[in-house]
Amino acid sequence: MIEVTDYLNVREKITRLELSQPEGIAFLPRGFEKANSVNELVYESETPTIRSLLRQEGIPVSRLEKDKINFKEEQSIAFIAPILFITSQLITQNPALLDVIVGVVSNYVYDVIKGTRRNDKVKLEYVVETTTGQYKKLTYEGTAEGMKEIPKTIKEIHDGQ
Amino acid sequence: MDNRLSIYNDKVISVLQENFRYIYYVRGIELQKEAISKLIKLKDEIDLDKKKYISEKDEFMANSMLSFEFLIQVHIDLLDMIVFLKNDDPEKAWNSLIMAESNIHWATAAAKGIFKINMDVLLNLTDFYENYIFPPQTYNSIEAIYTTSKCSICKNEYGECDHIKGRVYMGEMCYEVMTGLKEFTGLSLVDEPASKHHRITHFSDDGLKMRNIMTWRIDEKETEKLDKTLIGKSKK
Repeated sequence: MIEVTDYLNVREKITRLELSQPEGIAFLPRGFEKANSVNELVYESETPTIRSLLRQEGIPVSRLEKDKINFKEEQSIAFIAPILFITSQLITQNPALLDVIVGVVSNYVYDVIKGTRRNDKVKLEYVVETTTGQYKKLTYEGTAEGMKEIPKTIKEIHDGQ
Repeated sequence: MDNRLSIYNDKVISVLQENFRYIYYVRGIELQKEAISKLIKLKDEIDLDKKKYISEKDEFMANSMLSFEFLIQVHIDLLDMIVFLKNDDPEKAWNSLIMAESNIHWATAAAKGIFKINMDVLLNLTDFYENYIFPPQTYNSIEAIYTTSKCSICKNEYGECDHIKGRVYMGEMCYEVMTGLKEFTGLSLVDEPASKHHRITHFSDDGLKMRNIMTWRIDEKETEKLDKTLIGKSKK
């Protein structure tokens, strides 16, 4: 199931928190929406893994932080992926990368659950910057298999359809 | 399939099949212990070959040997579980069961389809024991904030190197080692924990005696701890 909702102005919030403006894609830390200072932010524990996987596919992930941001480890079986912020620049210049980005995450989810009885449902969140400078949050809940619809929806959100 | 791998596959599967007959609970305990010894011997042989392939920098064979080791270990864990159950030690039996479940996952992750074995049979077996032989469990999960973590393969900061946790590199599984604990933020009761080793082991229904979740027996040692806790509280 894919749900699309309005999201706060990411770039304004980044400026207010004195973070770096991203190019391409970036991870939004937990607490980003409500945080008043960078000290309140933590990355989800899967962030370094997804960052490495994307880098290996030739997709660098911009860092918002000037100093290090801590990360949170929860010993629950639920797969908690970091929120991925996708800039309008990336979608305009190289929309094909959306398939690669989503494919990297879905392959990793598949690796995590294979050979187990773990629930294969995942929850993923993408924040999309639109051509008109608005921000929308796409929330996906479902199996890794169903994730292939996500790139098309991101493109539609970006184009304001 | 690589001919060298095919020889190993036949050898390992033949020993596993021969010893699978002891995975039924009612088999003689002495036969089950003998089967465990045979499987440990086989695993040691595979481990030696893995080291040889690592020294030859043959990553495919080294990784394949590791996946065989995990697969053999699943069978050892299951037999251990039965022996512990027969010895009236359900705590250790549970730990062996959970190790078996983890090793099925690692064997599958490392194998890349090299086994001529249906892993679902093993998963069904562990499901059966978990759900019908052991009572329902209550699990807990810790929540903590970390500043750093290391890659178990290259020891660099995890995420900055190209190793991915859960993948196999030259006969070694990559883990993320959490190093910089900043803050312990909570403990939750969860239905699906990352580790089923993290469970509530005892409880008290009257505030006087501690009962073991597995055996339902009153545990004197745990009851003594409860007494001390209560005395400590009353003094405050």
